[in-house]
Amino acid sequence: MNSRGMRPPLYSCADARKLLAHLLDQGSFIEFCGPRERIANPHLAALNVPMSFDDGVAVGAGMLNGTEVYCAAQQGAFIGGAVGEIHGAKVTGLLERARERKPGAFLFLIDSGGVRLHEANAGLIGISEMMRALLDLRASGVPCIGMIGGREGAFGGMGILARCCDHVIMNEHGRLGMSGPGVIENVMGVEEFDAGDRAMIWRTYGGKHRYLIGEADCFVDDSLEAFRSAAAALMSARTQITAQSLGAGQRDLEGRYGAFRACTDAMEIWRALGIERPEEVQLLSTADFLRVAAGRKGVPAAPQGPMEAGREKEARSPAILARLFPAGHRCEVRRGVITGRAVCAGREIAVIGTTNHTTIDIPMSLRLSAHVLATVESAPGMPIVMLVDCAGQQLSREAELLGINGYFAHLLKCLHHARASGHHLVSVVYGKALSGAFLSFGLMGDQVYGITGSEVGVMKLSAMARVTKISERQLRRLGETSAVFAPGMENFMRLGGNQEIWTAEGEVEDRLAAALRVADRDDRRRALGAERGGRTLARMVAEKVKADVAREMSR
Amino acid sequence: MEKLDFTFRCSGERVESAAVSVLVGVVSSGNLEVFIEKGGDPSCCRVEVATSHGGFERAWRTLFADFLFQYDLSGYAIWINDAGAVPAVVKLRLHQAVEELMEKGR
Repeated sequence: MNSRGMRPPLYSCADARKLLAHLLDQGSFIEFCGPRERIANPHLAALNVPMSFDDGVAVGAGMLNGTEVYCAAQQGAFIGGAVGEIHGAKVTGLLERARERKPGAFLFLIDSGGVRLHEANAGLIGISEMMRALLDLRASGVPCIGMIGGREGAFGGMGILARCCDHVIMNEHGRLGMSGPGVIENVMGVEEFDAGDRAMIWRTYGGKHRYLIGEADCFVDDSLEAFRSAAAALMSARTQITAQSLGAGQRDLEGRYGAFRACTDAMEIWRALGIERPEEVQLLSTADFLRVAAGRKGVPAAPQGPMEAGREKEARSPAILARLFPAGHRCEVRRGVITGRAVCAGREIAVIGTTNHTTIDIPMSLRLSAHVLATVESAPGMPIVMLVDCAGQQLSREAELLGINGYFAHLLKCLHHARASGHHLVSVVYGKALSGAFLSFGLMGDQVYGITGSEVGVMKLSAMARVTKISERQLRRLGETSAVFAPGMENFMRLGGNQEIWTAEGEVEDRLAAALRVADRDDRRRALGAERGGRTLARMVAEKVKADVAREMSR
Repeated sequence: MEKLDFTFRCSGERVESAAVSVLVGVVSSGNLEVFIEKGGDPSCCRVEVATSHGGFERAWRTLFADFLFQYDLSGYAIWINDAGAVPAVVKLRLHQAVEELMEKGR
């Protein structure tokens, strides 16, 4: 009960500030870079879309049972909680500051469809910056807790980011996934996913299913008090990202894929987990559900059958390998994935990557992460070069059922672990680099380089037009003046997304050799974007958040 | 997008609050956010509206004239981001904002 004698709102119905007000100790929330700043959003203005004074996210600090915590809450009702330049920079700025000040926990109240298409590539880089900052914060010893219980759920880049947290708390309303039902239906057809079938949507993405397969750690009632006590309990349970934890994660994810890959509906998975009446799961109250789920959650021990059926090693290796590594390479190319070793400037390096404009599915993601883990184990400090040519992630109901976003998050954690263990990560974009697949490995590089003619971005302009309901012509016209909407590597570079562009005719092997000598491991993308004039707000906003933390918290 | 800027002399119930600002509502279809902040000319109330639906200046003006006849918000500024809210919703949010302002500053 609050001061007016009213019941607190349900978690799923409260807006961002209400959530924070009820989740934290009463009156303890202090907002940083709040609506008083009224930072104008030029990208939305250019599209004639109304902005919001806080750009759809509230970030700040408060107390949880007397312990100081930092928190970010996304406003799902504002453009689907999607991440734009300012939105992303507010969260990244706070994550980076938290690393120095070490609060008791970082609470991330996620309610977002992912990248804000209105800000296209600026949003994509923004989410990537959040991911790196969040994994760095975890490494510094601050537990990160993701909460998913609103109407928008956590999709796209935010679906991956949620699984980068130490813990995920969900309620029945929350949904967690990579590609939303609407996107899958739009691209693959209604036979693949009927976006109007709400029961199936919640069976696929909903909190209960995610809890049962191990994608969510905690399943709670749709009440603020339930989220609050779950968060308080998890605060002390920090999980570390280590070679052991990642090895176990790899085995779990392989086990899940092996055991459930043939399932076409969540109920088959629930039955396989030993739940006698899977058709009743969605009707169970939280308490009954947790009773039924006890001891059944998770995955069977060993993978069953071969991970990938079908095509063998490809006979022709992509031309990029010969061009980058004229001194020789031992790379295997199978089903669009490159893994192996190569020699560059007289030094052996590890290679992971994709080719042939492939779309990354679960077994491919698992092979990439396995190769990263094997490299860290067998060749300490060896640079890892990531070759990026992918048209996105697999759009299918089965992939979502198994939680493909969790597999991508695992790949990111492996790369983070490699970086933290002294491996230099260098990405080379040489074909397509689109959306979630780009986020899950290429954008994790310490430096990203592009070869001219490469196509980078969130999605095709035509698809973007469909989602934003802004005509393709208008988007194209805006692309002529704004680097945010414009396709191509040159514009991505102006946003600070990549270091430099290598011309196709140039001596790419020399450029790569030089790139491998760069010693810088910090995320410089914001600064680059500001210097190059393509993404000027991100740095300013992140600095503003940091200045607010310093001012407010020293009182 | 249309931007509107008004200044009103207020009458009615004086809004007293120790709070500096308040934000209510969310910018989403048929909804709006209202941000009220202390500051500016102490003798009047300034209103700035950014709306996705142009051509309703008179409706906005009438609505604020009426609202600021009821509440005296002199020395405050009202900022609005609107995504096509109908007048009844705008009124509701303004009342909510004033109520929260008074509650916050108690």
